[in-house]
Amino acid sequence: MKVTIAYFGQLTTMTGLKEEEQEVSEGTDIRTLLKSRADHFGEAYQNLLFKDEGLRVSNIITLNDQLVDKKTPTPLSEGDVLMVHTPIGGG
Amino acid sequence: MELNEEDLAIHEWQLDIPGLGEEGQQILKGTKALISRCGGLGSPVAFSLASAGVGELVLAHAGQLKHSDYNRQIGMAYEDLNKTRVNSIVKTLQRYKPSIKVKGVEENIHADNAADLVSEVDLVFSCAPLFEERFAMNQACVEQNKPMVDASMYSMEGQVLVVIPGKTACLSCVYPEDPPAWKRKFPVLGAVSALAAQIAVLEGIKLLTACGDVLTNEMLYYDTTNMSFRKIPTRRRPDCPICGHL
Repeated sequence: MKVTIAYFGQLTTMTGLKEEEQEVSEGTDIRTLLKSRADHFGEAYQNLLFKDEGLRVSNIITLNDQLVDKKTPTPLSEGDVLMVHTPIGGG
Repeated sequence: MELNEEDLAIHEWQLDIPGLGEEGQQILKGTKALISRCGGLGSPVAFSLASAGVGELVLAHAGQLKHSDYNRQIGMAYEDLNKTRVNSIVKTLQRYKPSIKVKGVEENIHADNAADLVSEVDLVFSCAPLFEERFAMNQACVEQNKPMVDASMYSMEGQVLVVIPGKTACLSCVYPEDPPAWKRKFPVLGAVSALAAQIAVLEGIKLLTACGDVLTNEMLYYDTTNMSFRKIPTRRRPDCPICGHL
C-alpha cells in the first residue's frame, strides 16, 4: 500500500524533499516506516527523528491531520498522509 | 484607558471592525506588551502593535546591529550599524509614533530575567531565535498566568502558537525537550518572518479584545513555497513540568 510522508522544517532541508510516497506492507507502523527512511537518508535524519531508537518527543507528527502518540505503535493504512515537523525557532 | 482626540484620529479606520471599536481600542491603549527579541519577527511585531494602538512596549534584545541583520530587522535604522540594536528600534518606533511608551532592555531573555520582565507586562510575544529563551518566557508566563504568543520561522515556513496558561498547551507541552538540532543560524527571509509576526500580532489583539477567535490548542503552520496554511492540533500534557499542575 502507498502512504505519503510530508516533511517540514529542518527535515525539508536535510532530505531535499517536501514529501515522498512510500510503498509499505500491511501492518507497518509509523516508527518502522520512519526508521526505514532513516536508514535511507542517514545519520542526520536519524538524529532529528530518533532518540535511543524511540521517536523524539519534540517533533510534531500528524497522521491525516491528527496528532500521533509517539509512544504507541500506530499502524498505517492505504493513502495515509504522515506529516513530520521538526521544531522551528527562528526569529 | 481613555482615548484622546489624537488616538481617535489615528485609529479612525479600525474602530468599525466588529468586536474592536472604542472599547477594544481603550483596552489596546492600556496594554503593556513584552517582545523578545526585536529581529525579523520582533521588529514587525513591535511596529504592528504600535500601529494598532498598544500603549506600551518593553523590547528586550542584546547586541549591536550588523549588516546581516538588515535583511529582516525592519525596525532598525541603517545609520545605527554597529550600535545597540534595541536603542535603534526604540528610536524608530518613537519617530513613527511619538505617543507610544517604549522601554528598551539591552538583554536577551534568560532564566534569570524572564520573571521580572514578564511581571511588568500584560502580554508576551516570544520571538527569540533560541529555544532556551522561548522556554524561559514560557515558564515565566505560566507561573504568572500571562498569555504568550510564540511565533517562529525557518526558511520559507513559519508557525504561531498561543499559550494561555491552564487552558492551552504551553510551549513545553508541544516541545517536551530542547530540540537538539536547532542552531542559532537558520535560513531566513524577512517576509517569512514578518508574516509570522503579523499573525502573532492579530492573535495578541484577539486575546485582548473581542474581534475574533484565538488559536486555542492548535498551532498555525504555513509554508510559503506553496502558500499552504494549516492548523496543527496541540494538546496539554498532564505530566508537563511547566503547566501540568494547572
